[in-house]
Amino acid sequence: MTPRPVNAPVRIPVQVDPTGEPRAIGLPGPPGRRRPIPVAQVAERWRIDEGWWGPNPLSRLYYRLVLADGRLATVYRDLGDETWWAQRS
Amino acid sequence: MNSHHFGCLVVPRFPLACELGDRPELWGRPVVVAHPDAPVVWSASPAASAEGVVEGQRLTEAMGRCPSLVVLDARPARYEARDAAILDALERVVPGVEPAGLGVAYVDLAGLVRCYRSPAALHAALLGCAPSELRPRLGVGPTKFVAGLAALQRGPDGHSRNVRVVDETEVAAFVTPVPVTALPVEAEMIRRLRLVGITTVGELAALPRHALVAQFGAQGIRLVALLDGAAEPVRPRPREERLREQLAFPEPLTSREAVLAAAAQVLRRLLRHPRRRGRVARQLVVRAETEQGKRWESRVTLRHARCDHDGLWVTLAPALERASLPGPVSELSVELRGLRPSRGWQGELLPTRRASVERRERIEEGMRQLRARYGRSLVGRMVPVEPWSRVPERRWALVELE
Repeated sequence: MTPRPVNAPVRIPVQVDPTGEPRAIGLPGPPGRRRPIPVAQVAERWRIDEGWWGPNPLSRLYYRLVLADGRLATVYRDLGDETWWAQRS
Repeated sequence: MNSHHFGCLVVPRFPLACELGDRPELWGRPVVVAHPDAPVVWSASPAASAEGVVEGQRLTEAMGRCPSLVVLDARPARYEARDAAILDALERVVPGVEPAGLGVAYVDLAGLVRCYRSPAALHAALLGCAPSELRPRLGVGPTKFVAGLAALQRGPDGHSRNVRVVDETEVAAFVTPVPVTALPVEAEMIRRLRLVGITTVGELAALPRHALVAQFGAQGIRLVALLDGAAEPVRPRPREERLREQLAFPEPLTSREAVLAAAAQVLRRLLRHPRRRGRVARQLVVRAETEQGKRWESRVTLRHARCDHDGLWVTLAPALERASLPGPVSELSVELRGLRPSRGWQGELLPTRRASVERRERIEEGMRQLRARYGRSLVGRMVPVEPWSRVPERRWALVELE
């Protein structure tokens, strides 16, 4: 068995505001429960740039979010292909 | 006061009273507290009730009936804390205190009046256990049932308006006009009684006892006993030695790492407490509260009574890591329950080889059965890959456990 990464990111749908900040996110879950949840507050943001010198550069902008229903979520925007992912940080 | 053995301290509409205690400017206005788990009215003020708002009603309907209605979010954690403070205060006055839901407690007053210069002084001491802004009421009667009903009635003129004492000789006259809605029975039973036109306790008491038992079964038997004046004893809440430490955060914590670090600090402080020395705990309770009064709680029963830091941390940390917290944490507490003297525990000086071999064999047998059942191993082992990496998925990997 090949080693499997732990805490792999999961692709999620995100609605963004005109400045590119997340406005509502759809958390991973069963198909019937993927309604977008509004973001109440961006608690923290940080950026990761790795391997920019090699063939597989990685550039992510992480957000720690407080959702309207009170839950906390960590998501990131892949700055390479502009996709959104959820991940426990 | 030989015949008055029971008291009942009631804070009517407890959730609402707690909210109005914090916001006195809302007194007299139509206000409701929304239920924390459903969009229905949990607790309604008299002004709201006068407009047709009742508990259990959907909020949309309540707002339709009363457009000026003020709807407040429930803060269950705050209500529970205030209720616990009232029970603690009562236990300092009375030896036996029975909690009966938020804002309701029964006490056994037998022999207690001799400790005070007058019954009124005892009543004042009991009323003083609840903050005056909650507007508590006290009922005193020969049974818990009568005391509970008395607590919901206003006192006569000339006496304290918040205390109603019902003498043994006036019980029948007192309970006869009381509405059946005040009875300590299920709402369904009250609904059925009203359907057949029985609205007061007097009308109920006039019914044949066997008919009540036939209609309502076990509840009917209890009701008959109450109507006939059977005295249920006060069942004090179990006394358990507990030790609790908490931390409040002016800036609520949003990251799990910060919550874990705070929990480690609370645990260290708890273990340094003088009352902890030489004692072990059976249960560990960790609670997190949000600014909105929402609460998350995890209660873990320890396999062995213990009180060492490492043993408690391996229980506490996974509970917090798995937790689905209801929001940014503004207060965190850790409580040790079931504290008892340590009887000493003799560890092994050197680990025995036999125990480790047995453990290994048990794991291998379990894995062999899993492979036979599912065709592949479902058990993995976490191995560090780049634990220092800033990219979360590169830190650890799962490999099959051989």
